[in-house]
Amino acid sequence: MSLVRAESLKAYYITKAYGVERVVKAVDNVTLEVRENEILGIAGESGCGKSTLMKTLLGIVQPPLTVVGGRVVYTVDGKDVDVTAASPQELEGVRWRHVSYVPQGSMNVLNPVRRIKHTFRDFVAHRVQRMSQAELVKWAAEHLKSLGLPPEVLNAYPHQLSGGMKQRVTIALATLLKPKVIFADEPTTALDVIVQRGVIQLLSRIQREEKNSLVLVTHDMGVHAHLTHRIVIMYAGKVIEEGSTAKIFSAPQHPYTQYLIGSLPVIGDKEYRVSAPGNPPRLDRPLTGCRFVDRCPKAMPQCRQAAPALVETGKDHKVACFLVSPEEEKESA
Amino acid sequence: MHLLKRYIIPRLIQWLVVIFVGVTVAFIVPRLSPLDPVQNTLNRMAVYGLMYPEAVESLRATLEELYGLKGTVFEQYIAFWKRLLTGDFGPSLSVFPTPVIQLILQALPWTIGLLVTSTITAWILGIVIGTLAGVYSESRFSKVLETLVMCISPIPYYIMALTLVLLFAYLIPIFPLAGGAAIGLRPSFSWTFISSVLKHGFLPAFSLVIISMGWYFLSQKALTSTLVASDFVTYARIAAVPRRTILYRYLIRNSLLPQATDLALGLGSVFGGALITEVVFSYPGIGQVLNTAIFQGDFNLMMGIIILSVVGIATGALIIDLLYPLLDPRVRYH
Repeated sequence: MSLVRAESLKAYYITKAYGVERVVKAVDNVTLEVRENEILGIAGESGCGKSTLMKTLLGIVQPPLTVVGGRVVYTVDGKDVDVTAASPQELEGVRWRHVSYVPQGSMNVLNPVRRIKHTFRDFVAHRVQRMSQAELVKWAAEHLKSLGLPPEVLNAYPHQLSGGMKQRVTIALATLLKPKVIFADEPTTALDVIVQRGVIQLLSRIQREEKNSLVLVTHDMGVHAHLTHRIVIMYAGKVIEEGSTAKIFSAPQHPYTQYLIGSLPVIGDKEYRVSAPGNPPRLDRPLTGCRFVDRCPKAMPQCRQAAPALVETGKDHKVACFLVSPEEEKESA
Repeated sequence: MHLLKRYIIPRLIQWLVVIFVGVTVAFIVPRLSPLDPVQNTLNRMAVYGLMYPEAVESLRATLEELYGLKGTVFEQYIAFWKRLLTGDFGPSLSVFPTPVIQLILQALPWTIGLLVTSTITAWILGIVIGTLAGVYSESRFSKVLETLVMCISPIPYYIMALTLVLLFAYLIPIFPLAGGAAIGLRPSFSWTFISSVLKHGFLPAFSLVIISMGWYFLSQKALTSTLVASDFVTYARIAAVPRRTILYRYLIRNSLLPQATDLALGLGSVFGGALITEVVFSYPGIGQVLNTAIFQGDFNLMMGIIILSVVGIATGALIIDLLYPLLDPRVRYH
């Protein structure tokens, strides 16, 4: 059963300056689902639209970002909530209870003039039935303890904590109410590898214990290999391949994914790693055909005329490439 | 103890140094001027009739003694500090021999009442409206307000003050034209006196509020729009933290840090008086006294006001420095 669904989602950055409209198609016709009890990885290089996709999935759409087509649906207690059409009040109701969010490790997401316990209160007090300050602090302290943080953290100010501790605090904030889906945007970026491992282990432990779903956006393929069950590979605003982590790493089908996996270093292997030549296309120009065509070693004439559709090629494996299936992408309004 | 040694004492020393330098400059500057107050007085007296040279010489000596201009500059400087530390600013030269301190003390309550009230009112209004305009920067209300402030702020203060006087005291006489209270009223805690003070003080206070509020409004709006886009406000919004909490605890609380400094310096400068306001509205405060002192070449009075103003601003900065750790936890630990 799916908890979060994106249906032919299109989210563009639309800006206007001196009457000239500029449209960046950051998320272009993306369909995916987050299932129950899984860790879904969203991978791709910088600028491929993965953060924009996550913002849209979370319902944080603010100009210049505009949803021009498709929709995002949450399944909350068996009922569907259309996030793209929901009122701010409805969204506030599902946030943190149904979906929550762990921001990038490098950001200053904690109010610098507020003690951690007060931040906890700000985030959850209005969502729980009558709870005294003391009870709330006790609850938060127990939760922090289970995440490996001393309860004294609650009395500290953000500047007194290390980067790793701050990231654990944000994970604690996002998991306190036991939401069904947790979105994590580059949670390990800007942390050193030791702290990274701690954060990754923590996230996977929480997922195992709570049986909730985790959506992990990162460009770090190592993190994906360690943590995720399924991976969605994005390229230039589109999903080009989707499948179980084992399949993606062992038998990638899209030429881009093949380059991506092929570029990963392997211990003991001294062979030179080939990377895809060239750069991704500019997303503010009109694009037809496959987005990867200019860098693809197996490009065919057909690839320039139409974009390939994302089709199922095996159990739990979808690829958008004419080498695999001749089906063309249907342009939905 | 640690806090005292590491935080408070260095700031007290800094405060003393600032005052020392300020007072020294206030001492030196008039002595660099080509005007000689003793000679000025002698000239004034000479107009009334001829004097014997011996009488002129003895008068000069007496005046030099009185004005604190006896001996070398260094001796004068020492004597100046001695008098200052006992609270003696010397006699006023224009209303001789009334002590300067007495003139200042007479005018001070008026100025403090007027400027403290208007500064605090402008500060609070500017912050509240500025924050709202920063949060709802896309709303029509906010845009209209900003345009209005942009139009009013650049009007030179004296023109606006004069316009207000013309409009509301002369053409439509709702408010009195001049003074701090009705003539003949003795200061007391009676309703007649208080209402008279309020009525006289309204226009000058209003003009000051409008001018300084514009600045607080614009700076607060700029601060808020930066904060609105900051990581921690964005995150709190995503987490659907109640709007009131975000407004008070996240936006206003964080923008108060620079604004508190502004307020403290604004309150510190109260002791310098509001020269133009008090002249235009004929308000009996420090600014009015300073105006008289400048036109009459009353050095002692000018120096008295300058020193008071130096002490005021330095003390304002000291107080905010001492309070800052309470406002910003990041300053508490070094």
